[in-house]
Amino acid sequence: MTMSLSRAAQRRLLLWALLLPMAVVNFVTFILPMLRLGMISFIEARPGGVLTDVFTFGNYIDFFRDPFSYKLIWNSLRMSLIVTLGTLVAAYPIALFLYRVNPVWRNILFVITISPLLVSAVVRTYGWMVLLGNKGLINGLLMSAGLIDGPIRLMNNELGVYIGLIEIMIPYMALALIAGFGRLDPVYEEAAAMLGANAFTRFYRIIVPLTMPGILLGCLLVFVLSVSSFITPKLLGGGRVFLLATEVYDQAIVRLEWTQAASTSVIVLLIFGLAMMLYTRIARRYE
Amino acid sequence: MIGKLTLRLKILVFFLYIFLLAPILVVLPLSFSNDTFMVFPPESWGVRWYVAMFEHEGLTRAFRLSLWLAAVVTVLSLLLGVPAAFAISRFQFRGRDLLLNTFTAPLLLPSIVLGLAILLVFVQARLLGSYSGLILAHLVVTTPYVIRIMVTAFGTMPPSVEEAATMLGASPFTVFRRITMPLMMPGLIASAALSFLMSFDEVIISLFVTGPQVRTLPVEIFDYVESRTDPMAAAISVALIVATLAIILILERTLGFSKAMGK
Amino acid sequence: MTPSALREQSPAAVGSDPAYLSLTDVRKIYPNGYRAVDSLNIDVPEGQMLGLLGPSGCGKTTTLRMIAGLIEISSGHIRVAGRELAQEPPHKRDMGLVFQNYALFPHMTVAENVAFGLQMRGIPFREARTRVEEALEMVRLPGYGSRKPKELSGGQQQRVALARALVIRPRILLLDEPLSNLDAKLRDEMRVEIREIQQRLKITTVFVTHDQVEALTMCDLVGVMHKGRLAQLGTPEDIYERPNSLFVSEFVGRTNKVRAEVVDLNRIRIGSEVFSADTGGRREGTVWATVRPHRIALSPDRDRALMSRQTNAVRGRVLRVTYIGDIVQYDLDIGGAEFKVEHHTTSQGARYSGGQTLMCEWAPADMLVYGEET
Repeated sequence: MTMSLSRAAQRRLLLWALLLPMAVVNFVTFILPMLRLGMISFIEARPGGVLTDVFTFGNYIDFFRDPFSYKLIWNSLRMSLIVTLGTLVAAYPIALFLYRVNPVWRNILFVITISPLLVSAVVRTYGWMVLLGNKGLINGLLMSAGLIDGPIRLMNNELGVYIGLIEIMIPYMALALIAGFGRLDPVYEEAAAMLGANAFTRFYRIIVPLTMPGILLGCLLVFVLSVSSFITPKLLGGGRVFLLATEVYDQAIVRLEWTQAASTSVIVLLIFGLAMMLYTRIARRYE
Repeated sequence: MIGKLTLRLKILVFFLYIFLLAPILVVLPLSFSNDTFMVFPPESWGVRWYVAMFEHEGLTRAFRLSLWLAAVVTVLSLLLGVPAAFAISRFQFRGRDLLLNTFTAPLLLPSIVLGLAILLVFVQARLLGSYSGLILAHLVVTTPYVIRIMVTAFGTMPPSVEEAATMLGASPFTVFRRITMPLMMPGLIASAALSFLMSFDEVIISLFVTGPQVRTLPVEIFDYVESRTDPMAAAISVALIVATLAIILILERTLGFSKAMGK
Repeated sequence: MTPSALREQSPAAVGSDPAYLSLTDVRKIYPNGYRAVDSLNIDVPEGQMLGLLGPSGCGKTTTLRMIAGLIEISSGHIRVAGRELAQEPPHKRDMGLVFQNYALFPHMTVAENVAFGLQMRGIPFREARTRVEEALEMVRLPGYGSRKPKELSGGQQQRVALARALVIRPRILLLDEPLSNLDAKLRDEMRVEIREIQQRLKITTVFVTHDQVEALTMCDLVGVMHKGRLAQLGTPEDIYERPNSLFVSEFVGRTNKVRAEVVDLNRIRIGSEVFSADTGGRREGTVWATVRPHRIALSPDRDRALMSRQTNAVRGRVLRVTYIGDIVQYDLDIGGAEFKVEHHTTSQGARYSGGQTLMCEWAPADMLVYGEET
């Protein structure tokens, strides 16, 4: 039985054929899991990790009753904010440099700036372990230069996590900033100079405001990546750094407390949502 | 004079770049250390740990698995993502933006949350620790990139080019083969390269879905680094970096090569 | 609008300093040896407008930017009211600069743009606001303060740029081809406006342009530049009537150019005809002879012997007639060379037509002679 279809119907069929495979995979690997995650966060678990099908708010209540949870939230927010600010301060000069340097150098340096993203987070974090450890490069240099007597604690603490995360995030922030520098033009700096602005004034009245969209995007990106970062805090924190991300992992894999892990994840998603909302509110002011 | 590079900025940026590249650079000399423990600078030199790495069964198996997995995931991502991106770019339909956002949303969410969510579904579906489960899990992170890149690529390729070919008498298949495909090439190369790398380096979601039989290279490295303190991790890291560079070069050559052939 | 409130408060009387802005032997040589500006000497009297005129690449914009301090001088001196400027950075030079593409700050409103220079000078808010309003009124954009630059047309943006430069009451105003991005009608209007404002404020101004109409109609002094050097400096009339080189005579206004042989001090030969013209002291040699199209009179053909010996007269045949509205252009074959002649039209249109033989006359003083150009 052959049926000849109209052109419009043919197009519809084609559209479905193109979209369906991707949609199916997306549903199975993303939509479904996220829904299930939400569901499980409201399920009661019997001791030993067995799931029931009893609906409860208990996971969330326990979360908010536990003072440790607040420590987790505070740690995660505090750490992400510090990392975001630190990355901004580190990446902005790089973006400014790339904006002003001649095109030949700009291409080379751009590739160099992006290339660390090709390297796995594990490798980069390991590199920091080598640098920051008690027997690592930095301590070795400082001791042989006679500046310190014994090794200083650069790792297995928050400081190590900050250093490692900031370095890992610099390429992401740089990418966002560089895009933001597109709005800038040397002629604005010249016009400001002719009107009497010195270098410092030109920087905070002209350069910073015009690059603000890039700054905001970069900050959002790095903040979000920091809140969800897990590898670096685990490896450089030495078990002493407690964040929401590490807690989810411990709950799910180590302690097999899946319902609690699910509710903690939902909390993480809520923080995400808040950050996004804040971003869109502020970004609107700068177009 | 205005807006030129000052010496202060140059020096500052120089040190920033050293900071940026330090962890990657420091791993190279350490990999050639012959010490038993990780000491920097190494007290003795050699290739002892490279040898140990090649002889480590778990690692070599994981390397082969990651390579195979990345290749499969890349091909599948392209097969899934390119048609979808094409449909989104060239067709107007209700819910188009919503669909695009849904396809690319996994990029915005923390991997840790994604990993857990997938774990919870795979447990029921008995996909934990299986090859197909791993492939599906990786597709979550690679397909959004493919779609994003290809939607942009199609956006810069106005339909008028394809329409012109059609007016000149080319069948839809010919249009696709002779016009659309060659113009898509840069986007395809970028998507393929990115997919491969994302899958090859993917660690967090993989941590949730691997099992004793199925361990990817990043997972093996993570475990190793977490528990041991010898320089073999450095040798593995260098191997990983070299493998990454090689993969990019190979992809560039093969896909770029076929473009030169006029396919 | 209170013009008096905007007038320059200069301690000395206007026009008192004949070299208020003075360029002495100014050069700009780039590291690769390229000479963008070579040995420029110009004195601009106080309150007057200098036009730097020339084709692209002649160095006029480079000169302007050196005055502004945006480009470093290789050698020479730039002085304002006697004071050497050499090492001063641009933001301390107290000059107003209007850029070719206006360079309005996109993230600020019109009022904030105009107020920027005042803020840099620490002018208090109240006074600044008043001055900004006055400046916007002066450029005929009252009440536009809260708009953003992207909401304005090109002409409006240009006027805001002008207001921004003038509100700070600079001692020198610099204009970098401000009219080149405007359409023809707007350009004509702005020419008059800018000149009027400049004269009212009596502000010493440098105006860079490649359009000779702008230079001739707006400026007190015109400097024609060519390949980094000053070809001629003089009033618009000097430049037009007495160009000192072939380049200037061709660049400013339209002219006919033809090869000639020097016969003696006052006569040259073109083809087989001899004409009267001042050869500038030459007794022999090959020269270029020029005469402007509207200085040639056409009349019906008649006997040359009946005409005055004082004028140059020769027969020409009409090749082409082009009607341009206010003038009609005749292309004539005179002794093998092609001459263009322009006449004003009357309501009867063009008087002559193609193929006619006419008598062409011009005064010897209108025929200018030049040697070979390098």
